[in-house]
Amino acid sequence: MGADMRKWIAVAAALLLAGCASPTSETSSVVVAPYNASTIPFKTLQEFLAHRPVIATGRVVAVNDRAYEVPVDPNAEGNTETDGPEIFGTVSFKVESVLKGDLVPGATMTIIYMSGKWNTLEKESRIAYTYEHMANLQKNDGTLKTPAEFNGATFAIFAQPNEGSIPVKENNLYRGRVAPIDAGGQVTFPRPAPFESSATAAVKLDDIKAAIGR
Amino acid sequence: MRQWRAKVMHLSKFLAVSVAVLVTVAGLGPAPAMAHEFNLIRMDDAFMDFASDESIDDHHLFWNHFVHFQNYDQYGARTDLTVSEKCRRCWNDHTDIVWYAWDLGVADPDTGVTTTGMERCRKSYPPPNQVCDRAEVLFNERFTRDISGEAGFAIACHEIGHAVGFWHSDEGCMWADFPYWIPPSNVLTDDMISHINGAY
Ligand SMILES: [Zn+2]
Repeated sequence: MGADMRKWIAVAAALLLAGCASPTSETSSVVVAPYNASTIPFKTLQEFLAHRPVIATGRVVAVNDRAYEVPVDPNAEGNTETDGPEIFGTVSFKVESVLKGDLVPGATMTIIYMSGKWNTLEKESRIAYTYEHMANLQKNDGTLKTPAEFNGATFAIFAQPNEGSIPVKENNLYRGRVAPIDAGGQVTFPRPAPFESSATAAVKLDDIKAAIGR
Repeated sequence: MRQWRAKVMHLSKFLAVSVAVLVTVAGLGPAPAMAHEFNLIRMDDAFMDFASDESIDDHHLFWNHFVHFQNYDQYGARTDLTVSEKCRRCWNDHTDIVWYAWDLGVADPDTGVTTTGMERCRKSYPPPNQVCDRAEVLFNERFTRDISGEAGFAIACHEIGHAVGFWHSDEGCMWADFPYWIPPSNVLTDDMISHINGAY
C-alpha cells in the first residue's frame, strides 16, 4: 500500500468517524416521545382566529431545537427534586405579511416551544418531544428541519406573545402553530383541527384575511 | 377479587402512594399480538403505580372520580385503574403515572384550541430503551365541575391510554378528535384491555 493510499484511508476513516460517531453518541442519549394534547376544535374558523392575537405569514430563517434550558420548580405539581431541566426550542420566521397584531413585514418572529426535558440533574439522557401540530416543522427524531430543508416554503403563523407561560426571559418570543400555504393560497392545518371541518382542516388564505377583516 | 384488593392495600402501604393502577392478568385466553407501539411505559415492579399530585381539593375530587374506573375484557380479565385514598405529593420516582389538574386555558398557547387533557413522558429510561419511566397526565382545570360524566371518563381513559402506550386510532377512547367521549367511544375496547393485560 503506498503512502498516498494510506493517507487516503486515514482521511476516509476520519470522515467516517466524524459522520457516524458523534451523532450516534448524541442520539444514544435521547428518547423520542410524543407530547399528546387532546383538544376540542372551535366551531368556526372565525372563533379560532379570534383566539389568536398575532397572525402572519413568513418563511423559516433559523431553528434551534435546544435554544434554552430551564430548571423545573421541584415544588410545582408533577415535579420531583431529581427532575432535570426542561428544554425549549425555537423556530424563527422572516415575516412577509401581517394579518393581525403588532408585527411589521421584514421583522423576525420567533416561536418557542417545549422541545424536551433532561431526565435527571446530571443531564445524562433526555426526552425529545414530538408534536402533531408541529408535523411540518419537526423530524421524527424530534429535531427541527433546517431552513434549507424548508426550501422556501411559506407558512401561516397563528401565535400569541409568550408572556411567561414558558419561563424564558427573552423579549419578543411567541407561542403558536403554523400551517403551510401552497402555491394556490391554500392553508392546510396539521392536527389538531383548529375548527370543526369534515375533512382536512384547510382554508384559503383569502378566507382567513376576510374573516379578520383584512 | 379479595386477592387484588389485598394486593392494592399492600401496595399502598408499601409504596405509600395514594392511587394505584392495578392491572390484573386473567390468563384465561391467549393475549393478542401486541401492537409495536404499545409498551411506552415500563413499570418499576409488577404493578403500575398511579398517583395524584393535585394540590387543590376541588380539582382532586372531581378528576379522581374519573381516574377510578374498571374494565373487563372478553376473557374476563380485569383492568383496574383504582384509587385507594386521597394523598398529595406522596409519590416518588417509582411511580409510573402522575396526574393533576392544570389551567390549560380556553385556547392553548401552542395549538390555539381548547385542550381537555394532555399526556407526556417526564422521565424516560436511558436509551436504547424507548420507554417511559414516569408519565404525566394533566386535566384542564377549566373543565372541573363543568363537563358531563361521560366526557370526564373519556378524557381520563384517553390520556391514560396514551400513557400506557396507545396512539390515536379509531378504537375506543383513543379517537384523536372530538367527540371521542360519546359512548361507546369513551372507554377502552376489549382489544385494548387485552393489550394492556398482555403487556403489563
Ligand atoms: Zn390524544
